[in-house]
Amino acid sequence: MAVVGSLLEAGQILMSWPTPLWVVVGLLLGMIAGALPGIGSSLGMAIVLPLTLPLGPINALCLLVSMYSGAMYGGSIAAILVNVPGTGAAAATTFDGYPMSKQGRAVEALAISATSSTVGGVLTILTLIAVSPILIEVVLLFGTPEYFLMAVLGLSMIGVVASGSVVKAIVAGAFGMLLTTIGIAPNSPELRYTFGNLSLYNGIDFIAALIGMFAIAEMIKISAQKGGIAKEGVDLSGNLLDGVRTAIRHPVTILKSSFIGMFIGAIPGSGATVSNFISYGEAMRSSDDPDKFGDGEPKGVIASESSNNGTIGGSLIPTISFGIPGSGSTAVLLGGLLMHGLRPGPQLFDAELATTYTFMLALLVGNVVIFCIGIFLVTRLGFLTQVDTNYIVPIIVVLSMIGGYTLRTNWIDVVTVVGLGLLGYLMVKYNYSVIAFVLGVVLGPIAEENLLRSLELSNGTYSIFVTKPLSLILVVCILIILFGPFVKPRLERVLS
Amino acid sequence: MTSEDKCHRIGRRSFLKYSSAMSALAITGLAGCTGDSGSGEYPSGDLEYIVPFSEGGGTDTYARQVIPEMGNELDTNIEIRNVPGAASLRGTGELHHSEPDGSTFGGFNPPSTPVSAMVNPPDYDMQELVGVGAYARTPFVIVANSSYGVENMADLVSRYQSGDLTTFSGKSKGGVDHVLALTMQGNSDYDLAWENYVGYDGSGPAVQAVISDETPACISTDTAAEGAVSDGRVDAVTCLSSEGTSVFPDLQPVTEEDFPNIDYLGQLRRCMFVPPETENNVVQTLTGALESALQTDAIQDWSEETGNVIEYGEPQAAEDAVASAFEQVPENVDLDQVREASN
Amino acid sequence: MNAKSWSENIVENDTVKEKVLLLVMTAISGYMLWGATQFTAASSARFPRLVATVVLVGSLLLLVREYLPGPLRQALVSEGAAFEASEEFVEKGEEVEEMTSPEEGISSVDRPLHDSVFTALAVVGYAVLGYAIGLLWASPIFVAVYARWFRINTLRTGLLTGISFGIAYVFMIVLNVELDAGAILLTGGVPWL
Repeated sequence: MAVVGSLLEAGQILMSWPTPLWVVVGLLLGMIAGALPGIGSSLGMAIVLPLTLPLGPINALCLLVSMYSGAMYGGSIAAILVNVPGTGAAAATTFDGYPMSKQGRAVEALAISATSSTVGGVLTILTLIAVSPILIEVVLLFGTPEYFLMAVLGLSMIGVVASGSVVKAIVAGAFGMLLTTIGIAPNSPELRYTFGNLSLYNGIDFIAALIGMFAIAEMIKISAQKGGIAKEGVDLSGNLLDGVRTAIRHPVTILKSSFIGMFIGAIPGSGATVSNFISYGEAMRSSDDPDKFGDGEPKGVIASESSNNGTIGGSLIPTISFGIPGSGSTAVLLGGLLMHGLRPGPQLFDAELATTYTFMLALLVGNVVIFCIGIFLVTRLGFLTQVDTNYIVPIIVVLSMIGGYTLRTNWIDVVTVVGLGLLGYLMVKYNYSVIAFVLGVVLGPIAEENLLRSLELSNGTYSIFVTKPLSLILVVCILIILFGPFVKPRLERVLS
Repeated sequence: MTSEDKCHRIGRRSFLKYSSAMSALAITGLAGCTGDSGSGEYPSGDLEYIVPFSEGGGTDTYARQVIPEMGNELDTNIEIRNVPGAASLRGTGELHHSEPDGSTFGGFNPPSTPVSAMVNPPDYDMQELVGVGAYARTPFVIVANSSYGVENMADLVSRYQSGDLTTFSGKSKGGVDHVLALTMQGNSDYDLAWENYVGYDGSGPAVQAVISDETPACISTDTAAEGAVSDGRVDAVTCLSSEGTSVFPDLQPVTEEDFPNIDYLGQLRRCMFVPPETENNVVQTLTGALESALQTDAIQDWSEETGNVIEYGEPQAAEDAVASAFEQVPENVDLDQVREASN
Repeated sequence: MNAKSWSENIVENDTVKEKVLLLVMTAISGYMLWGATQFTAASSARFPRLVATVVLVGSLLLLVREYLPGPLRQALVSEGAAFEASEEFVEKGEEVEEMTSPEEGISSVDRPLHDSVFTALAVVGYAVLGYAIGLLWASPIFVAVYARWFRINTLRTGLLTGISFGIAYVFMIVLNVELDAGAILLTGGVPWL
């Protein structure tokens, strides 16, 4: 019953002034950081971190986790309205969110995003509070070979998400992976394609690639368009409740995506960028009508947005259990814990349980606040889709360029933004799947690093990928995704 | 927000300066706005401190505590600028190419940055940098999965020799962990006979691999291993610095088990430097500011509360840490082997 | 369609532009495939070699597809379903990609360049200028040029220019990025900001 006592105590702490204020401040700051390209949650949190020193541990941590969660949601705002994924976590939101805006359904899309984010966040945090000791055991089942297989699973989605020529999609995906091989190799100090230039040492930044591929490419395209982003003569009002309803009507998609997010969030090095693509791919794979995806299918927004908020719960597991951060944001959060004298490890579930529960509850309450802000304030931004593109384009280009440079104060990132912007424009125009390209960029490095490490662990034998039951299950999943579409119709024919 | 009004001129980027000064403000009641910075003397204007790592990392955390205090001591504002990438060689290079007038200084952690420079030589000579001082020390430790019940370093060595254990791990290949592992393998007094070094993307993931028994043991920084050790899933085997670690005060250093001293690799010494040919009086001013900043209540309290160790070292200690890495590493490890060591 | 200008014929010719895209990918993958043979560690070449080969073969095939036999060409450009079985072979031509959006035309503001072509060039120019003189100064210049090109009136041009400078300034102050310094002009930034 110590748990219940701690929970009650945590509730009291959370409700005592000024803690609720810091939760709201954190959410708002996070939303801004998330919506602006190039900032994102980790940089935003790092900037705020030293400011939290006078606040005391509880308020500081509530502020930081609220920023984390606000940024996950905030990324979707720009993604939906102007095709700019503020963070990698919102990249898949652009696939259907932005087409919805073009159809004049921006308000609906924003409402769907707020609802899915909230539900995804609440579900996973509740799970985290309920079963955190078991979760850590599940996380530990995953090792290097499993990470590799997860990445391959994601890459096999290329076949699912590609619309049009599969060959073009494969070329696009492989091209994305190829670009990520620039820079230092993952398992040796070999410098690949750097021309002796220190700026290229760490290769291209995938956020810069996303900004180029989505934001710049789209701005080049719509600069030739008269009027606003939304097609003319569409009534923007009145579809707010529709959005909420649409989201709630797809409980399976929300559930599945939230837990995919939570699960992937717990794996180091991947996080929300990977999970939103995988959830999107899964929603599309299991859909009766996958052709609708990419043309403003609400389920696409639901999948992406519930998964990225779900990631938070998962990413907290290794961070607070062992002090092992799986992503940039959790690394900063860990810095915050340490800065305020809280040591990750079993004591956070023992002597400090009330503190731990307080910031989990802060996340829970924060998600409800996200819903309110999202529904009542953010949806008003829908008018942006009716502003003439001549005004939108230059401002978005400026934001993208400065955001790109801010990532690492490295001009290589600006080159990436511009280069892939031009390339992305041509790829969209000639039906080379941009989703495939982005999957390649995001998952390529994870796949390579873990493949090479797996082979190091096994002394070069590939059997390491099928010896454990878990890896075997993953292999079977990959085979189903790759060959299911070919086998299924034949199987049905034989059976009938 | 009243202290903002007190400043006659809110310089550019004052938001950050102000923000990082706020902690100091809260504790000491002093803001870095007293105005009179003297004419013709150093420092005559704002300074810049280069952190060659991203925001939120260990080096950045230290900088954001120590630098505002140094600013107070010098009566000026010091901007912190993060120039991450290239295993800290990029930011360090920017420091090297800066004007040697004391307006720019920066920090990095030998032997880590020198090892990266030896493996992939950049276009500047890091040894030309002038030391300002050292402010902290982060020792490396070896941890092992607790199911093996490894007692100490001698026990670990015998298990690798008997073939009981084969795989050893740490951060990515080509970094300081890998070089440490090769040193202990090649040095006949250690004879840590691992067959297979597996590199992970940081100390955290390496420790996680030890927790899940993907690899039996790894090199880690003391702080990164703390949570896992207190959880009981991994054991701290030994400390690779002869000076021990405050995170695990009872942990025996390798030197106490009569293994040779490898301090040139076994601990990160967190140091500050200025560009080559910076004048002596500038260095002395900065060193003085560093030394007194580390003694302020603000820093001492922070260190005590958070366990981030503060340890002042003379300018010579900073330069020695770099020099000894450049001297001893090539003597003890075949760098070509490091570059090619991958299967 | 008679109004097509000379420049549009060059830049807007669809098959030419797709060829440009494919040539870029062929060249990059070819170079990277060659580069992978120069690495010292064998393992670091494995992955680049694999993906570069896929890109090279795929883009070369797509590049020369009109000279290939019919069924092979079909497989290259048709949707996944056509892979499934030849018995369900559907004649899905290349019309999907020939599709041009309705907004395509010459310039909407009566300029000698297609709108998108201008934007693309302006973005490249913006990046180069930003490198030379700093993004803080390049941003308002880019926005002003862009707004004048699209014949936005002076007041609104001024407003947009001001907003862009404001954005750059806030990034510089809040995030402490050096945006006021260029590589050619103003290399030290401007002290009075």
